[in-house]
Amino acid sequence: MSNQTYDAIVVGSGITGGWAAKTLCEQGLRVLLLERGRNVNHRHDYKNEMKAPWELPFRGKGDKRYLDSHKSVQQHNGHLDEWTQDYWVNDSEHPYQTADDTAFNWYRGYHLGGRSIMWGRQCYRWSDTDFAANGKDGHGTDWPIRYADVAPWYDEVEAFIGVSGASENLPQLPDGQFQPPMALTPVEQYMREQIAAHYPKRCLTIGRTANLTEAKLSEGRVACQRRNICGRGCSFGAYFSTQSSTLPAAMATGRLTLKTDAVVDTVEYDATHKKVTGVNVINRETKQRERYRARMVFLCAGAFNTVALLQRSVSGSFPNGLANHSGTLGKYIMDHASTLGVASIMPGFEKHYYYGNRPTGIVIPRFVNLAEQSESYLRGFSYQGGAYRPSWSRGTKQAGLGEAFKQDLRGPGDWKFVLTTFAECLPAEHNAITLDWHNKDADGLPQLRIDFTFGENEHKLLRAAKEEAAAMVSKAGGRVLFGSDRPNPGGSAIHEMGGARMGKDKTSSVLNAYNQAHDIDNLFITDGAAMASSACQNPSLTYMALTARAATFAASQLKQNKI
Amino acid sequence: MADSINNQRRAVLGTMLAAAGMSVVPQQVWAAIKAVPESPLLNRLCDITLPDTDTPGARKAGVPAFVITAIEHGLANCPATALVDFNKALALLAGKDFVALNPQQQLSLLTTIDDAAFSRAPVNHLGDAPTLWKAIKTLIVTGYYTSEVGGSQELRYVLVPGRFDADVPCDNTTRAFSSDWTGVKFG
Repeated sequence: MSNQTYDAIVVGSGITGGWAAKTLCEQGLRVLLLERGRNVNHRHDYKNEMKAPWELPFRGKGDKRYLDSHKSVQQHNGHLDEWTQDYWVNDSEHPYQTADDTAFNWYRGYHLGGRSIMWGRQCYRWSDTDFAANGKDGHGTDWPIRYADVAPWYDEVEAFIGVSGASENLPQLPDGQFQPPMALTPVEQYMREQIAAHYPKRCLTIGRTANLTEAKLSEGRVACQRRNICGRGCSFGAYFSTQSSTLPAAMATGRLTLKTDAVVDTVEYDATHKKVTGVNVINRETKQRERYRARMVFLCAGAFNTVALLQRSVSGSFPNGLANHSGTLGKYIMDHASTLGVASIMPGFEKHYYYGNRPTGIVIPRFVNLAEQSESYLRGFSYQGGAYRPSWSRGTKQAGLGEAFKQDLRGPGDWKFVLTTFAECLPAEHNAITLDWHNKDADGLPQLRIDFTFGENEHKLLRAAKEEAAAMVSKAGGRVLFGSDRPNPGGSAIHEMGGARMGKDKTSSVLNAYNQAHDIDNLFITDGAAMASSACQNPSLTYMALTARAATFAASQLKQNKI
Repeated sequence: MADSINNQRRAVLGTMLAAAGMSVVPQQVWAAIKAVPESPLLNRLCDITLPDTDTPGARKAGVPAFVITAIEHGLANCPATALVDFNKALALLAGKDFVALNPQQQLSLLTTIDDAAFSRAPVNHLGDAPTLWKAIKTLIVTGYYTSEVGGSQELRYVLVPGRFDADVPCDNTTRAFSSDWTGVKFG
């Protein structure tokens, strides 16, 4: 198609693809950024952003018949509603298989910006508790990096994307370059004090979220307007997305070429020189095939799609998938085991309400197995949640008719305090992705077959988390309504990761300490596929930091003709 | 007549939704949704559940049309025959058509069913009326508070708050926000 050879091709324009493009462009490289889905222009294409419920045909709930036929999987994720439904893939065009007796809800969006449009925006650093875990207990392979390797890149990413949060000086959840935190509600403040009083090692703090509390006007980004409708797209540019942040930065260099509707089928490999040379692309609209060449390739297609792309890229040198001499490609996939740990009513705050919608909840960082392995289970869990007063929808769950019912629903309901558990998922070999070459998707690509189950340790963690959550609420005088230790189906945390893990040993991992393929030195994988363990906090910030770090390294290597 | 209108609407909706992939909402969909046949039963149920007070109630807010559309499209997992079935169940319990009862009788019967619908103990002699009512009530309540009247006159709707005040005073005159997306989503 094109005779031009780019310095780098980046596959995928989501959270990591945007960072790869920005970093490589700023290092002086000419970059081609490929996105499989449609273009989504910042502001212009956020079509439902400003609509009220009564301006939508189904009042924000969506047409269940349409959702059943086109979003059979996606509709089960809490971020999808009638405003945001077009950002989630059409399951009828993009089906996948799951192994017998297993479930995996694979939530994703195929469009410019990917899930950076709809993400939960929670940004948490990992600590050496996390990076050292595999090496310590023997599950998975030891990470080839430690906190000190990533810390400066966390600094850079946080400062650029804008993360609001409170410093707490917790070793297990290091502080970062925070913009001013958002405020706790009275119930959350009360719970913070109660938890600190009853449990000296536990901390409730405001969520660390990629929403600006201070504008970045030079980047065209306004401070958060406290709407909490981020997933529709934000014309204020107040939360981090590819569109609001990394893409404009990459574009500003004048060295970025962006192509949407470009589905990468395979990565090309030159066995003589032992290098990748470019990618083969299917134009989504025309179904025509195109080839693009580059001196190096970054895969940022989203963990599972990156794995599948490598698995499709078979050759005589790599009959089992590109960069897979270790045989570990596609294995050790993970997602946090999540569930509603506790829902409760917190009495005594009836004279307090709030104004505005804070686009983050609270977090209770991990507090188990920190200094030493003290519990019967390995690793740990954390909670995210918060306090709020139910609005009108409680009226669908209670008896009542007439004026009194209407009058009751006119005011806010009783304060509720809820905690969702996120438990670390151990890397297990049997949790794996393979390709089903007989069943294709709408682009003609073989479907993924996801084989994933949570193990006994994850179940133990959720059981402990349920008990602890109920205890914290009860000690504070709250009334427990519900608590669960049953994990939501795999994929529900939308933190799917692994499949091309980093490691010290090329016989047991795909990537080295710089996200560089052990087998091919001009191939980099910097999305969630690279993860060797899952920790129990949200992974996106770590993906971004690893991407910025790897891209800086790769650019330097390229300039020195080392790759 | 009503059937033929419904068939027409379904045909229009089906075609438009298939063509548009729901990425845009064509005017035709709106037109079809607004051309909903009247249901005297549903009008009464709306009046009883959320009546006119100092703000218009559910019927004036156009909730009956929303409920019919919502049932057709499976919202709240409400069965397609919910209204017809509920009408029959009511007639069985009342001995005559619900709409032929006087307002006091209507309120009394619906209150019995409503209490049963949200009680933990099953009330056998009411048949499937409580289950059907729960689904229909969900749609009435949803339809009202997501209407412009319910969302922005009865409750407060603020699309762009501009700030978050974590602690503001609240008394029995304070109105909730229909735009408190967390408070709405998690009820």
